[in-house]
Amino acid sequence: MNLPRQFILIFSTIVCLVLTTIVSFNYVMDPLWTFNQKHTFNDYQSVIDERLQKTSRMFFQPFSYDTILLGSSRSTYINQNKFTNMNVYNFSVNNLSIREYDTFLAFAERQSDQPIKRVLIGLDFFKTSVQESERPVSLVNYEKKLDDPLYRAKNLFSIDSFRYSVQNLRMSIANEVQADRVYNHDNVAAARHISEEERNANTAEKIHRFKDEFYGSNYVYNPRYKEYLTIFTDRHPDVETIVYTTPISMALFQTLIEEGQLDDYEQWLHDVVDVFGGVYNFMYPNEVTNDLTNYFDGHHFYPIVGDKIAERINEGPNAQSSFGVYLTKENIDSRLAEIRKKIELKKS
Amino acid sequence: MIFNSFEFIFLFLPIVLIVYFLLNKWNFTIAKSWLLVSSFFFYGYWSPAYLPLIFLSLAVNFLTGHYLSKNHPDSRRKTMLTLGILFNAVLLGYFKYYDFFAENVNVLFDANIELKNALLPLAISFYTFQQIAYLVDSYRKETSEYNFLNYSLFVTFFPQLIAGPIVHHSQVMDQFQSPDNQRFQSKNVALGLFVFSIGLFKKVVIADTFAVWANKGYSMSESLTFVDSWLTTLAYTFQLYFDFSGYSDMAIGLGLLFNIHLPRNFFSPYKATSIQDFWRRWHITLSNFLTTYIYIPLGGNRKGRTRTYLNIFIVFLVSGFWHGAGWTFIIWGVMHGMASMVNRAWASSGRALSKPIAWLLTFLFVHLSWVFFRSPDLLTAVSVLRSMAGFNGVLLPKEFIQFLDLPIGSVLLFRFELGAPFIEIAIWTIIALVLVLFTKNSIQLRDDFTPKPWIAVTTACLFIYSATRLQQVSEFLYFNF
Repeated sequence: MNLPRQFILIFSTIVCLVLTTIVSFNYVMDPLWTFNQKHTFNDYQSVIDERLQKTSRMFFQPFSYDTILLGSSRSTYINQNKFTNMNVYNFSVNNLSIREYDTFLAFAERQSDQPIKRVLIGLDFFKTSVQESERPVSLVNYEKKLDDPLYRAKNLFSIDSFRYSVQNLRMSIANEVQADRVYNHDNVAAARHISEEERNANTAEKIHRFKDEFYGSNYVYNPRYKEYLTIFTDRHPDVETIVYTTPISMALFQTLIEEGQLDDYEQWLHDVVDVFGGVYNFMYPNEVTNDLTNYFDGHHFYPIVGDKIAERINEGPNAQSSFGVYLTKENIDSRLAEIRKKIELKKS
Repeated sequence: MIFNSFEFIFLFLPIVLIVYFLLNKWNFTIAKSWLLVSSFFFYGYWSPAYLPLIFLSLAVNFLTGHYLSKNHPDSRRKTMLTLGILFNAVLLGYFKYYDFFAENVNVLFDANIELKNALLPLAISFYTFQQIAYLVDSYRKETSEYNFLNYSLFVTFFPQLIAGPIVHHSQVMDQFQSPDNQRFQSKNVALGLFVFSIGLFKKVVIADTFAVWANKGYSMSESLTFVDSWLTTLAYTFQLYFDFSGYSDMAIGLGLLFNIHLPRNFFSPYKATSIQDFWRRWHITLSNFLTTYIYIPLGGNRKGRTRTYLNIFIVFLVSGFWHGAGWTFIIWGVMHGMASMVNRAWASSGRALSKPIAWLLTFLFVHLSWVFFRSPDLLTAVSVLRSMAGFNGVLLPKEFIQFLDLPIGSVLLFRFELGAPFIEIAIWTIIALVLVLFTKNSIQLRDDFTPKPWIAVTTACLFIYSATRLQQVSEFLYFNF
């Protein structure tokens, strides 16, 4: 064989072999959730980009739910299977802005084989500032990616996908959650358990960051926040809405107070109640938020707290519980007064 | 479609290549027709709306050229040539420059000319220049009897259609007509794979890495200080070179797969020791075009010293304007025109600089001129240049101070925000500088190429590494928020 032909043969053989290996491995491991692969070697799935992964799963796999759970990273730790009398898909993703909720629900409505009857909405206080809620964002760019007929094929050739495939294989073989958030095949997230020392360090860092970035002089309650909530309800008039606030640790709540955002917190709850009629409030001093071991960074709780949130919502608005108060127009002022009292008590 | 896309590498190219050589076994004309249709598909992939314009341009220029190459009276031929060039100028002017002129007239005369906001047809600057050259040479009776198929292929051959090299008809027409090129030639294919893989690596791995930092820096031009402004502008200097020369390499490599030898377009431009030297190495086919069809017809250096300087200046002014309809490009062209005049005056004075000083001056000048080339407007360019001069403060990245263990207070520290740690960008910049100064360029590697097995393995590695980075799956920032 002459040298040029040998060159072409060597080049082609190596390229074909390596690319086939990468493509096959990515296909089997399915780190972007596009091929519905479920086996023991991929039962731990790293979070790459939840918007991409969850929309892909909804788009490329059978999808039939009557309830959608929307929220940011805290809400991802709520097990969708813990809700009773509703078939829930947890469509929560990291850093979800209040302005994205609408397009998320619209996408879910288009994908679901059955009508979406209900939406569970997780709200976070720090997402109410102008800084965190004014930028117009939507799911459109992710939907465009899915429209590309070669989208799935392209990802199979990606070395980045390959790295995530390897990471998932390692976790699955070790049978161990090795990151702050890892999903199983059923869209249920788990968090790595950490030492007390690490938790304290994470919490201190989180508090520092909140002071530096989200609270204090950086925080201005968005005067249009209520309008955004109203837009959401107006656009989905036939969908029943159940709203809850996410519980942050008292260590972080204390920072909110120290930075002067308590009035904004109350304004927020008033606005939410005005728009939705009621809200399950978990963000106040209670048995869960007082116990830092429920969190891995003072801001994100472990899935066990997510189970308690689901349980409380299952019980309904009128149930009596030590975790979670259902606020309405009738009781909000008295409940907020109680919270202020608890805070004062803690101070003293 | 772009060369560094999944669609191109894994679908379009293999299909076009295989079908082309299969058809060649049957009929050369049909095979070339397939290549032409494929080139139109390649061009129309972005937006089919571009296609009618290129069809029109091809038809008008071919017919005009055909007329010019015949023995018609000179006066008629001259009129026809003028009309042909005007047609191309109007086409380019309307789509590329109309809004620029309208905006400036509106500002200068407080007028209210409506902007067209016309979609700029892809590659119009490239195919217009190629066809103007064809018309001029037809008038000079330097074109042979080309048929429409070969002519269309010369203009639209997909490897060179979008971003050059600007091919002269004399360089490829014979190749498109030669029956020898019907055969699958393993020597050319091996060489094509080699050059294409180098270009792909330059574009996907090196240029795209620098692009992130350059884009970030230019998007925050007002807050740049001394160190990050230099790293931003250096990132762009290297991004532009590796991007454009990588694209040219890919074009040359692709041409070779079809047995077509495209002209070289870059030859280590950052090794240049004068601005004249730089333009012999950077976008060579454009320089050749401007020299042949503007500088020489204007009189070149044959009409005295003043006219020579003026001609040089005009060539660079046109070059600046050709690159983009904006004052930043015009200033960039003017800067190079002025520098070329100074360079000529210096050379004719008989004095010489030492090579390192000459290189440094040339590189710094080219580097600074790219600030205008990259900036979206003059304000941004001035802001970046001010930062580079230290007017926005000379702060040092924390890592830099820690690395050198400097006893400097926190007032001189700042948050480095180009999207990667300072050390990482600095190391990439040094590596890029070493690559452009001390290694062989891809054209030299092409000329020295021998299809040895270890080179095949290296080429395959370059290709795989680049091809698997085409689709980037990036982790969402702000993971836990």
